[in-house]
Amino acid sequence: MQSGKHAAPSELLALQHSFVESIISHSPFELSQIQPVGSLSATEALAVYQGDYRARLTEALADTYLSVAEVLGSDFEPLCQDYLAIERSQSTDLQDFGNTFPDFLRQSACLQTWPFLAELAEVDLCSEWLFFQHATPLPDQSCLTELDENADIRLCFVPHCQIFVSEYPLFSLWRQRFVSEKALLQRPENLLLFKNQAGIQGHRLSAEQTSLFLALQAGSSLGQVFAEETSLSPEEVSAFFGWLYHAGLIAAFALSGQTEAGSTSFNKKA
Amino acid sequence: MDFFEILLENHLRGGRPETILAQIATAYPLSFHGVGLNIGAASEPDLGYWQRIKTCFDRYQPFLVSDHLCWTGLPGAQLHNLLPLPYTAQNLRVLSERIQRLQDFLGRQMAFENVSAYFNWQASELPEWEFLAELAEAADCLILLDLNNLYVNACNQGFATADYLQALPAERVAQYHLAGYTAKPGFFFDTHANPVYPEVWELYRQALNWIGPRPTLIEWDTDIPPFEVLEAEALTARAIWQTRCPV
Repeated sequence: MQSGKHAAPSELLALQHSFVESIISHSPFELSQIQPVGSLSATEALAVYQGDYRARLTEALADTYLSVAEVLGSDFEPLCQDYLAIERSQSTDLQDFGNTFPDFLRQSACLQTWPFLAELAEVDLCSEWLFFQHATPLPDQSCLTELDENADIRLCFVPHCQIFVSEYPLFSLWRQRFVSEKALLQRPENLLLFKNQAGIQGHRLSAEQTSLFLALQAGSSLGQVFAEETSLSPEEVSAFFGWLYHAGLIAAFALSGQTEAGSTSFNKKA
Repeated sequence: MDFFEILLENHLRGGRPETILAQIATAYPLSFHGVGLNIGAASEPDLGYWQRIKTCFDRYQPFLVSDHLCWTGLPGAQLHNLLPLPYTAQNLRVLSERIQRLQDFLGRQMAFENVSAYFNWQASELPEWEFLAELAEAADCLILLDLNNLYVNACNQGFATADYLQALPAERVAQYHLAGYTAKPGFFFDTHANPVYPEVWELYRQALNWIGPRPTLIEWDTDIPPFEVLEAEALTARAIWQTRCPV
Protein backbone atom coordinates (compact mmCIF):
# COMPACT_ATOMS: atom_id res chain seq x y z
CA MET A 1 0.00 0.00 0.00
CA GLN A 2 2.70 2.46 -0.93
CA SER A 3 1.56 4.62 -3.82
CA GLY A 4 -0.39 7.82 -3.73
CA LYS A 5 -1.14 10.27 -0.96
CA HIS A 6 -1.17 7.71 1.81
CA ALA A 7 1.91 5.50 1.62
CA ALA A 8 1.63 2.32 3.60
CA PRO A 9 3.17 2.82 7.00
CA SER A 10 6.58 1.26 7.22
CA GLU A 11 5.52 -0.51 10.38
CA LEU A 12 2.90 -2.42 8.39
CA LEU A 13 5.54 -3.57 5.94
CA ALA A 14 7.81 -4.63 8.80
CA LEU A 15 4.92 -6.47 10.46
CA GLN A 16 3.98 -8.31 7.27
CA HIS A 17 7.60 -9.13 6.47
CA SER A 18 8.15 -10.54 9.93
CA PHE A 19 4.97 -12.61 9.70
CA VAL A 20 5.88 -13.98 6.26
CA GLU A 21 9.31 -15.07 7.48
CA SER A 22 7.81 -16.75 10.53
CA ILE A 23 5.50 -18.77 8.30
CA ILE A 24 8.01 -19.73 5.62
CA SER A 25 11.27 -19.97 7.53
CA HIS A 26 9.93 -20.30 11.08
CA SER A 27 11.99 -17.21 11.93
CA PRO A 28 11.53 -15.73 15.41
CA PHE A 29 8.33 -13.71 15.62
CA GLU A 30 7.27 -11.30 18.33
CA LEU A 31 4.26 -13.24 19.60
CA SER A 32 2.95 -10.30 21.63
CA GLN A 33 1.97 -8.68 18.30
CA ILE A 34 -0.94 -11.08 17.88
CA GLN A 35 -3.98 -12.07 19.88
CA PRO A 36 -4.83 -15.70 19.13
CA VAL A 37 -8.48 -16.77 18.93
CA GLY A 38 -10.41 -19.47 20.76
CA SER A 39 -8.23 -21.35 23.20
CA LEU A 40 -5.22 -21.26 20.86
CA SER A 41 -1.90 -19.96 22.08
CA ALA A 42 -0.06 -17.49 19.87
CA THR A 43 2.34 -20.25 18.85
CA GLU A 44 -0.59 -22.51 17.95
CA ALA A 45 -2.23 -19.74 15.94
CA LEU A 46 0.97 -19.28 13.95
CA ALA A 47 1.15 -23.06 13.49
CA VAL A 48 -2.30 -22.98 11.85
CA TYR A 49 -0.92 -20.68 9.14
CA GLN A 50 2.38 -22.56 8.87
CA GLY A 51 0.47 -25.81 8.30
CA ASP A 52 -1.84 -24.14 5.80
CA TYR A 53 1.14 -22.79 3.85
CA ARG A 54 2.75 -26.23 3.57
CA ALA A 55 -0.55 -27.87 2.65
CA ARG A 56 -1.46 -25.35 -0.07
CA LEU A 57 1.91 -25.41 -1.77
CA THR A 58 2.19 -29.20 -1.56
CA GLU A 59 -1.27 -29.48 -3.08
CA ALA A 60 -0.22 -27.12 -5.88
CA LEU A 61 2.78 -29.33 -6.64
CA ALA A 62 0.60 -32.45 -6.59
CA ASP A 63 -1.83 -30.78 -9.02
CA THR A 64 0.95 -29.97 -11.48
CA TYR A 65 3.09 -33.08 -11.05
CA LEU A 66 0.35 -35.69 -11.14
CA SER A 67 2.48 -38.47 -12.62
CA VAL A 68 5.41 -37.81 -10.30
CA ALA A 69 3.08 -37.82 -7.30
CA GLU A 70 1.53 -41.11 -8.33
CA VAL A 71 4.87 -42.75 -9.01
CA LEU A 72 6.29 -41.63 -5.66
CA GLY A 73 3.18 -42.30 -3.56
CA SER A 74 3.89 -41.52 0.09
CA ASP A 75 7.43 -40.40 -0.79
CA PHE A 76 6.04 -37.40 -2.68
CA GLU A 77 5.13 -35.23 0.30
CA PRO A 78 8.53 -35.39 2.07
CA LEU A 79 10.13 -34.45 -1.22
CA CYS A 80 7.79 -31.46 -1.51
CA GLN A 81 8.78 -30.33 2.00
CA ASP A 82 12.44 -30.40 0.95
CA TYR A 83 11.53 -28.29 -2.07
CA LEU A 84 9.52 -25.83 0.04
CA ALA A 85 12.56 -25.38 2.26
CA ILE A 86 14.49 -23.85 -0.63
CA GLU A 87 11.83 -22.45 -2.96
CA ARG A 88 9.34 -19.66 -2.27
CA SER A 89 6.22 -18.82 -4.16
CA GLN A 90 6.93 -15.68 -6.17
CA SER A 91 3.54 -15.11 -7.76
CA THR A 92 0.15 -14.34 -6.25
CA ASP A 93 -1.18 -17.02 -8.59
CA LEU A 94 -0.63 -20.39 -6.92
CA GLN A 95 -0.61 -22.10 -10.32
CA ASP A 96 2.73 -20.46 -11.05
CA PHE A 97 4.40 -22.24 -8.16
CA GLY A 98 6.78 -25.14 -8.78
CA ASN A 99 8.20 -24.44 -12.23
CA THR A 100 11.68 -25.29 -10.94
CA PHE A 101 10.60 -28.61 -9.42
CA PRO A 102 12.09 -30.67 -12.31
CA ASP A 103 15.47 -28.99 -11.75
CA PHE A 104 15.18 -29.70 -8.05
CA LEU A 105 14.49 -33.36 -8.79
CA ARG A 106 17.58 -33.49 -11.01
CA GLN A 107 19.70 -32.67 -7.96
CA SER A 108 17.74 -34.91 -5.61
CA ALA A 109 18.88 -38.22 -4.17
CA CYS A 110 15.56 -39.71 -5.28
CA LEU A 111 16.95 -39.82 -8.80
CA GLN A 112 18.99 -42.83 -7.74
CA THR A 113 15.79 -44.78 -7.13
CA TRP A 114 13.71 -43.14 -9.88
CA PRO A 115 16.18 -42.08 -12.57
CA PHE A 116 13.44 -40.83 -14.91
CA LEU A 117 11.73 -38.62 -12.34
CA ALA A 118 13.00 -35.21 -13.50
CA GLU A 119 12.06 -35.97 -17.11
CA LEU A 120 8.63 -37.16 -16.04
CA ALA A 121 8.20 -33.91 -14.10
CA GLU A 122 8.98 -31.96 -17.29
CA VAL A 123 6.21 -33.88 -19.05
CA ASP A 124 3.77 -33.09 -16.24
CA LEU A 125 4.71 -29.41 -16.38
CA CYS A 126 4.26 -29.34 -20.14
CA SER A 127 0.91 -31.09 -19.79
CA GLU A 128 -0.29 -28.35 -17.40
CA TRP A 129 0.96 -25.68 -19.78
CA LEU A 130 -0.95 -27.31 -22.63
CA PHE A 131 -4.11 -27.34 -20.50
CA PHE A 132 -4.13 -23.53 -20.58
CA GLN A 133 -3.51 -23.26 -24.34
CA HIS A 134 -6.11 -23.02 -27.06
CA ALA A 135 -6.05 -25.70 -29.77
CA THR A 136 -5.34 -24.49 -33.30
CA PRO A 137 -7.89 -25.26 -36.03
CA LEU A 138 -6.79 -27.54 -38.89
CA PRO A 139 -5.56 -25.71 -41.99
CA ASP A 140 -7.35 -26.15 -45.29
CA GLN A 141 -6.91 -29.77 -46.39
CA SER A 142 -6.46 -28.72 -50.02
CA CYS A 143 -3.03 -27.43 -49.01
CA LEU A 144 -1.94 -31.04 -48.60
CA THR A 145 -1.82 -31.43 -52.37
CA GLU A 146 0.91 -28.79 -52.46
CA LEU A 147 3.16 -31.14 -50.54
CA ASP A 148 3.52 -33.28 -53.64
CA GLU A 149 4.07 -30.34 -55.94
CA ASN A 150 6.53 -28.06 -54.20
CA ALA A 151 9.74 -29.28 -52.61
CA ASP A 152 10.41 -25.83 -51.12
CA ILE A 153 7.39 -25.98 -48.89
CA ARG A 154 7.85 -25.95 -45.12
CA LEU A 155 5.49 -27.21 -42.44
CA CYS A 156 4.62 -24.76 -39.69
CA PHE A 157 3.71 -26.72 -36.59
CA VAL A 158 1.25 -25.58 -33.97
CA PRO A 159 3.03 -23.93 -31.03
CA HIS A 160 1.39 -26.29 -28.58
CA CYS A 161 3.61 -29.30 -29.05
CA GLN A 162 6.78 -30.55 -27.41
CA ILE A 163 9.01 -33.56 -28.01
CA PHE A 164 10.64 -35.37 -25.12
CA VAL A 165 13.57 -37.58 -26.11
CA SER A 166 14.33 -39.94 -23.25
CA GLU A 167 16.30 -42.99 -22.27
CA TYR A 168 13.23 -44.11 -20.33
CA PRO A 169 9.68 -45.13 -21.29
CA LEU A 170 8.25 -41.68 -20.55
CA PHE A 171 5.06 -42.17 -22.51
CA SER A 172 4.14 -45.29 -20.53
CA LEU A 173 4.99 -43.60 -17.25
CA TRP A 174 3.01 -40.49 -18.05
CA ARG A 175 0.03 -42.33 -19.52
CA GLN A 176 -0.15 -45.22 -17.08
CA ARG A 177 1.36 -43.60 -14.00
CA PHE A 178 2.60 -47.01 -13.05
CA VAL A 179 6.15 -48.11 -12.55
CA SER A 180 6.87 -51.71 -13.45
CA GLU A 181 10.33 -53.16 -13.17
CA LYS A 182 10.53 -52.85 -16.93
CA ALA A 183 9.98 -49.12 -16.69
CA LEU A 184 13.07 -48.79 -14.58
CA LEU A 185 15.12 -50.41 -17.33
CA GLN A 186 16.51 -48.04 -19.85
CA ARG A 187 14.19 -48.25 -22.83
CA PRO A 188 14.58 -45.18 -25.03
CA GLU A 189 11.27 -43.60 -25.89
CA ASN A 190 10.33 -40.35 -27.59
CA LEU A 191 7.12 -38.70 -26.54
CA LEU A 192 5.33 -36.01 -28.54
CA LEU A 193 2.98 -34.07 -26.30
CA PHE A 194 0.53 -31.69 -27.94
CA LYS A 195 -2.93 -30.17 -27.84
CA ASN A 196 -5.58 -30.47 -30.51
CA GLN A 197 -9.34 -29.95 -30.62
CA ALA A 198 -9.85 -33.19 -28.64
CA GLY A 199 -7.58 -32.08 -25.78
CA ILE A 200 -4.09 -32.96 -24.60
CA GLN A 201 -2.56 -35.84 -26.54
CA GLY A 202 0.56 -37.96 -26.15
CA HIS A 203 2.06 -39.99 -28.97
CA ARG A 204 5.09 -42.25 -29.08
CA LEU A 205 7.45 -41.48 -32.00
CA SER A 206 10.16 -43.67 -33.46
CA ALA A 207 13.70 -42.34 -33.58
CA GLU A 208 13.33 -41.71 -37.33
CA GLN A 209 10.02 -39.88 -36.94
CA THR A 210 11.56 -37.79 -34.17
CA SER A 211 14.49 -36.77 -36.38
CA LEU A 212 12.14 -35.90 -39.21
CA PHE A 213 9.84 -33.90 -36.94
CA LEU A 214 12.71 -31.97 -35.37
CA ALA A 215 14.21 -31.19 -38.79
CA LEU A 216 10.88 -29.88 -40.06
CA GLN A 217 10.29 -27.96 -36.85
CA ALA A 218 13.73 -26.36 -37.25
CA GLY A 219 12.64 -25.04 -40.65
CA SER A 220 13.91 -27.60 -43.16
CA SER A 221 11.86 -27.74 -46.32
CA LEU A 222 10.28 -30.99 -47.48
CA GLY A 223 12.86 -31.23 -50.24
CA GLN A 224 15.68 -30.93 -47.71
CA VAL A 225 14.36 -33.61 -45.40
CA PHE A 226 13.79 -36.02 -48.28
CA ALA A 227 17.30 -35.40 -49.54
CA GLU A 228 19.18 -35.34 -46.26
CA GLU A 229 17.26 -35.92 -43.10
CA THR A 230 15.37 -39.16 -43.19
CA SER A 231 15.95 -42.82 -43.62
CA LEU A 232 12.20 -43.40 -43.87
CA SER A 233 10.71 -44.57 -47.14
CA PRO A 234 8.48 -42.15 -49.12
CA GLU A 235 5.43 -44.19 -48.06
CA GLU A 236 6.41 -43.98 -44.40
CA VAL A 237 7.01 -40.24 -44.70
CA SER A 238 3.67 -39.80 -46.44
CA ALA A 239 1.88 -41.76 -43.71
CA PHE A 240 3.66 -39.69 -41.04
CA PHE A 241 2.68 -36.40 -42.71
CA GLY A 242 -0.90 -37.61 -42.93
CA TRP A 243 -0.87 -38.39 -39.22
CA LEU A 244 0.69 -35.01 -38.36
CA TYR A 245 -2.03 -33.23 -40.33
CA HIS A 246 -4.96 -35.18 -38.92
CA ALA A 247 -3.60 -34.97 -35.38
CA GLY A 248 -3.84 -31.19 -35.74
CA LEU A 249 -0.10 -30.57 -35.47
CA ILE A 250 0.29 -28.62 -38.70
CA ALA A 251 -0.80 -25.02 -38.37
CA ALA A 252 0.12 -23.83 -41.85
CA PHE A 253 2.24 -24.42 -44.93
CA ALA A 254 4.84 -21.90 -46.04
CA LEU A 255 7.35 -21.53 -48.80
CA SER A 256 10.98 -21.38 -47.76
CA GLY A 257 11.86 -17.85 -46.84
CA GLN A 258 8.34 -17.00 -45.63
CA THR A 259 8.08 -16.06 -42.01
CA GLU A 260 6.05 -18.24 -39.71
CA ALA A 261 3.28 -16.61 -37.74
CA GLY A 262 4.24 -15.65 -34.21
CA SER A 263 3.87 -18.41 -31.70
CA THR A 264 4.45 -19.34 -28.11
CA SER A 265 6.14 -22.51 -27.03
CA PHE A 266 6.64 -24.50 -23.86
CA ASN A 267 9.27 -22.78 -21.78
CA LYS A 268 7.61 -22.02 -18.49
CA LYS A 269 10.88 -21.24 -16.78
CA ALA A 270 11.38 -18.35 -19.19
CA MET B 1 -29.24 -22.34 -11.44
CA ASP B 2 -29.46 -18.57 -11.10
CA PHE B 3 -25.85 -17.60 -11.76
CA PHE B 4 -22.33 -19.03 -11.96
CA GLU B 5 -19.52 -17.83 -9.75
CA ILE B 6 -16.02 -18.59 -10.99
CA LEU B 7 -12.70 -18.52 -9.19
CA LEU B 8 -11.08 -15.76 -11.18
CA GLU B 9 -7.49 -17.06 -11.19
CA ASN B 10 -8.61 -20.29 -12.89
CA HIS B 11 -9.79 -18.33 -15.90
CA LEU B 12 -7.00 -15.84 -16.56
CA ARG B 13 -4.76 -18.16 -18.57
CA GLY B 14 -6.88 -19.30 -21.48
CA GLY B 15 -7.29 -22.87 -22.66
CA ARG B 16 -10.08 -25.16 -21.56
CA PRO B 17 -11.23 -23.11 -18.53
CA GLU B 18 -11.71 -20.06 -20.76
CA THR B 19 -13.52 -22.11 -23.40
CA ILE B 20 -15.96 -23.40 -20.79
CA LEU B 21 -16.42 -19.95 -19.28
CA ALA B 22 -17.25 -18.51 -22.70
CA GLN B 23 -19.96 -21.16 -23.11
CA ILE B 24 -21.42 -20.52 -19.65
CA ALA B 25 -21.42 -16.77 -20.29
CA THR B 26 -23.82 -17.20 -23.17
CA ALA B 27 -26.52 -18.62 -20.88
CA TYR B 28 -25.98 -17.44 -17.29
CA PRO B 29 -25.09 -14.31 -15.33
CA LEU B 30 -21.55 -14.45 -13.97
CA SER B 31 -19.90 -13.46 -10.72
CA PHE B 32 -16.08 -13.39 -10.58
CA HIS B 33 -14.39 -14.11 -7.25
CA GLY B 34 -10.63 -13.71 -6.87
CA VAL B 35 -8.04 -14.71 -4.29
CA GLY B 36 -4.94 -13.10 -5.79
CA LEU B 37 -5.53 -9.35 -5.53
CA ASN B 38 -3.54 -8.97 -2.30
CA ILE B 39 -5.12 -5.58 -1.74
CA GLY B 40 -3.85 -5.25 1.83
CA ALA B 41 -0.15 -5.90 1.21
CA ALA B 42 2.14 -3.08 2.25
CA SER B 43 4.07 -3.48 -1.00
CA GLU B 44 3.25 -1.95 -4.38
CA PRO B 45 0.20 -3.45 -6.11
CA ASP B 46 0.76 -5.92 -8.94
CA LEU B 47 -0.41 -3.77 -11.87
CA GLY B 48 0.02 -6.68 -14.27
CA TYR B 49 -2.61 -8.58 -12.28
CA TRP B 50 -4.87 -5.52 -12.31
CA GLN B 51 -4.62 -5.40 -16.09
CA ARG B 52 -5.35 -9.13 -16.47
CA ILE B 53 -8.48 -8.99 -14.35
CA LYS B 54 -9.67 -5.81 -16.09
CA THR B 55 -9.35 -7.54 -19.45
CA CYS B 56 -11.36 -10.47 -18.13
CA PHE B 57 -14.03 -8.23 -16.55
CA ASP B 58 -14.36 -6.15 -19.72
CA ARG B 59 -14.81 -9.25 -21.83
CA TYR B 60 -17.41 -11.04 -19.71
CA GLN B 61 -19.13 -8.15 -17.89
CA PRO B 62 -19.91 -10.09 -14.69
CA PHE B 63 -22.65 -8.64 -12.51
CA LEU B 64 -20.26 -8.75 -9.52
CA VAL B 65 -16.50 -8.90 -9.07
CA SER B 66 -14.96 -9.57 -5.70
CA ASP B 67 -11.86 -10.48 -3.73
CA HIS B 68 -10.99 -10.45 -0.03
CA LEU B 69 -10.25 -7.81 2.58
CA CYS B 70 -6.84 -9.22 3.39
CA TRP B 71 -3.23 -9.56 2.34
CA THR B 72 -1.77 -12.77 0.96
CA GLY B 73 1.99 -12.19 0.93
CA LEU B 74 4.79 -9.90 -0.18
CA PRO B 75 6.77 -9.80 -3.44
CA GLY B 76 8.92 -12.90 -3.67
CA ALA B 77 7.17 -14.58 -0.75
CA GLN B 78 3.51 -15.31 -1.28
CA LEU B 79 1.69 -17.27 1.42
CA HIS B 80 -1.51 -17.94 -0.55
CA ASN B 81 -3.61 -17.45 2.53
CA LEU B 82 -6.20 -14.81 3.34
CA LEU B 83 -4.47 -12.97 6.15
CA PRO B 84 -6.07 -10.36 8.42
CA LEU B 85 -4.88 -6.77 8.53
CA PRO B 86 -4.32 -4.62 11.57
CA TYR B 87 -7.57 -2.67 11.70
CA THR B 88 -6.15 0.80 12.28
CA ALA B 89 -7.31 4.22 11.16
CA GLN B 90 -4.09 4.66 9.18
CA ASN B 91 -4.50 1.35 7.33
CA LEU B 92 -8.12 2.28 6.65
CA ARG B 93 -7.02 5.48 4.88
CA VAL B 94 -4.30 3.76 2.87
CA LEU B 95 -6.50 0.82 1.89
CA SER B 96 -9.37 3.10 0.97
CA GLU B 97 -7.15 5.05 -1.39
CA ARG B 98 -5.82 1.89 -2.98
CA ILE B 99 -9.30 0.49 -3.56
CA GLN B 100 -10.44 3.78 -5.12
CA ARG B 101 -7.41 3.68 -7.41
CA LEU B 102 -8.20 0.08 -8.35
CA GLN B 103 -11.87 0.83 -9.00
CA ASP B 104 -10.93 3.85 -11.12
CA PHE B 105 -8.63 1.61 -13.14
CA LEU B 106 -11.27 -1.10 -13.52
CA GLY B 107 -14.05 1.35 -14.24
CA ARG B 108 -16.34 -0.44 -11.81
CA GLN B 109 -16.89 -1.24 -8.15
CA MET B 110 -15.50 -4.32 -6.47
CA ALA B 111 -16.82 -6.18 -3.45
CA PHE B 112 -14.52 -7.22 -0.61
CA GLU B 113 -15.16 -10.27 1.52
CA ASN B 114 -14.62 -10.58 5.28
CA VAL B 115 -12.11 -13.34 5.99
CA SER B 116 -11.74 -15.93 8.74
CA ALA B 117 -8.78 -15.28 11.02
CA TYR B 118 -7.08 -17.25 13.77
CA PHE B 119 -5.49 -14.23 15.40
CA ASN B 120 -6.00 -10.49 15.58
CA TRP B 121 -3.23 -7.94 15.47
CA GLN B 122 -2.59 -6.23 18.79
CA ALA B 123 -2.18 -3.03 16.79
CA SER B 124 -5.86 -3.08 15.74
CA GLU B 125 -7.80 -0.05 16.90
CA LEU B 126 -11.21 -0.89 15.43
CA PRO B 127 -13.37 -4.02 15.48
CA GLU B 128 -13.44 -5.81 12.13
CA TRP B 129 -17.04 -4.81 11.37
CA GLU B 130 -16.34 -1.15 11.98
CA PHE B 131 -13.27 -1.26 9.76
CA LEU B 132 -15.21 -3.02 6.98
CA ALA B 133 -18.18 -0.64 7.21
CA GLU B 134 -16.01 2.49 7.21
CA LEU B 135 -13.86 1.17 4.40
CA ALA B 136 -16.88 0.46 2.21
CA GLU B 137 -18.07 4.04 2.66
CA ALA B 138 -14.66 5.68 2.29
CA ALA B 139 -13.63 3.68 -0.78
CA ASP B 140 -17.13 3.53 -2.27
CA CYS B 141 -16.77 -0.23 -2.64
CA LEU B 142 -19.12 -3.16 -1.99
CA ILE B 143 -19.13 -5.90 0.61
CA LEU B 144 -19.30 -9.63 0.02
CA LEU B 145 -20.57 -10.89 3.35
CA ASP B 146 -19.40 -14.42 4.12
CA LEU B 147 -21.72 -15.53 6.89
CA ASN B 148 -19.67 -18.62 7.67
CA ASN B 149 -16.54 -16.50 8.16
CA LEU B 150 -18.54 -14.10 10.29
CA TYR B 151 -19.82 -16.96 12.47
CA VAL B 152 -16.38 -18.61 12.76
CA ASN B 153 -14.78 -15.32 13.80
CA ALA B 154 -17.61 -14.50 16.23
CA CYS B 155 -17.20 -17.88 17.95
CA ASN B 156 -13.43 -17.82 17.92
CA GLN B 157 -13.08 -14.19 18.98
CA GLY B 158 -16.13 -13.92 21.21
CA PHE B 159 -18.13 -11.11 19.63
CA ALA B 160 -21.85 -10.94 18.85
CA THR B 161 -22.88 -11.63 15.27
CA ALA B 162 -25.70 -9.11 15.64
CA ASP B 163 -23.20 -6.31 16.32
CA TYR B 164 -21.46 -7.17 13.07
CA LEU B 165 -24.61 -7.43 10.94
CA GLN B 166 -26.15 -4.25 12.26
CA ALA B 167 -22.96 -2.24 11.75
CA LEU B 168 -22.74 -2.91 8.01
CA PRO B 169 -24.24 -0.46 5.50
CA ALA B 170 -26.94 -2.70 4.02
CA GLU B 171 -26.92 -0.97 0.65
CA ARG B 172 -23.26 -1.89 0.17
CA VAL B 173 -23.69 -5.63 0.82
CA ALA B 174 -23.77 -7.15 -2.66
CA GLN B 175 -23.64 -10.88 -2.03
CA TYR B 176 -23.68 -13.60 0.65
CA HIS B 177 -21.40 -16.60 0.89
CA LEU B 178 -22.33 -19.65 2.94
CA ALA B 179 -20.09 -22.61 3.80
CA GLY B 180 -19.29 -25.21 6.44
CA TYR B 181 -16.40 -24.97 8.89
CA THR B 182 -14.59 -27.73 10.78
CA ALA B 183 -14.51 -27.83 14.58
CA LYS B 184 -10.90 -28.26 15.73
CA PRO B 185 -9.71 -28.54 19.34
CA GLY B 186 -9.92 -25.03 20.73
CA PHE B 187 -11.25 -23.24 17.64
CA PHE B 188 -13.41 -23.39 14.51
CA PHE B 189 -11.45 -23.77 11.27
CA ASP B 190 -12.84 -22.37 8.02
CA THR B 191 -12.43 -25.33 5.68
CA HIS B 192 -15.38 -25.15 3.26
CA ALA B 193 -15.48 -28.91 3.77
CA ASN B 194 -18.87 -29.43 5.43
CA PRO B 195 -22.57 -28.64 5.10
CA VAL B 196 -23.67 -25.23 6.33
CA TYR B 197 -24.22 -25.45 10.09
CA PRO B 198 -27.65 -24.66 11.58
CA GLU B 199 -26.23 -21.60 13.36
CA VAL B 200 -25.03 -20.22 10.02
CA TRP B 201 -28.43 -20.86 8.42
CA GLU B 202 -29.92 -18.88 11.29
CA LEU B 203 -27.44 -16.09 10.61
CA TYR B 204 -28.53 -16.16 6.98
CA ARG B 205 -32.15 -15.65 8.09
CA GLN B 206 -31.07 -12.69 10.21
CA ALA B 207 -29.04 -11.22 7.35
CA LEU B 208 -32.02 -11.47 5.03
CA ASN B 209 -34.10 -9.61 7.62
CA TRP B 210 -31.60 -6.88 8.48
CA ILE B 211 -29.77 -6.42 5.21
CA GLY B 212 -32.11 -7.90 2.65
CA PRO B 213 -32.00 -10.48 -0.13
CA ARG B 214 -28.77 -10.70 -2.11
CA PRO B 215 -27.33 -13.27 -4.53
CA THR B 216 -26.22 -16.21 -2.38
CA LEU B 217 -23.56 -18.81 -3.01
CA ILE B 218 -22.72 -22.04 -1.18
CA GLU B 219 -18.94 -22.54 -1.14
CA TRP B 220 -17.65 -26.11 -0.87
CA ASP B 221 -14.13 -26.67 -2.12
CA THR B 222 -12.62 -29.41 0.05
CA ASP B 223 -13.95 -32.98 0.35
CA ILE B 224 -16.52 -32.10 -2.29
CA PRO B 225 -19.67 -34.22 -1.85
CA PRO B 226 -21.94 -35.79 -4.48
CA PHE B 227 -23.80 -33.12 -6.45
CA GLU B 228 -27.12 -34.03 -4.76
CA VAL B 229 -25.73 -33.03 -1.37
CA LEU B 230 -24.58 -29.66 -2.67
CA GLU B 231 -27.85 -29.17 -4.48
CA ALA B 232 -29.77 -29.84 -1.25
CA GLU B 233 -27.76 -27.07 0.42
CA ALA B 234 -28.63 -24.66 -2.38
CA LEU B 235 -32.30 -25.62 -2.14
CA THR B 236 -32.23 -24.96 1.61
CA ALA B 237 -30.81 -21.48 0.92
CA ARG B 238 -33.52 -20.89 -1.67
CA ALA B 239 -36.26 -22.04 0.74
CA ILE B 240 -35.01 -19.69 3.47
CA TRP B 241 -34.84 -16.83 0.97
CA GLN B 242 -38.41 -17.49 -0.17
CA THR B 243 -39.71 -17.69 3.40
CA ARG B 244 -38.04 -14.44 4.40
CA CYS B 245 -38.43 -12.60 1.14
CA PRO B 246 -41.64 -13.82 -0.53
CA VAL B 247 -42.15 -12.55 -4.06
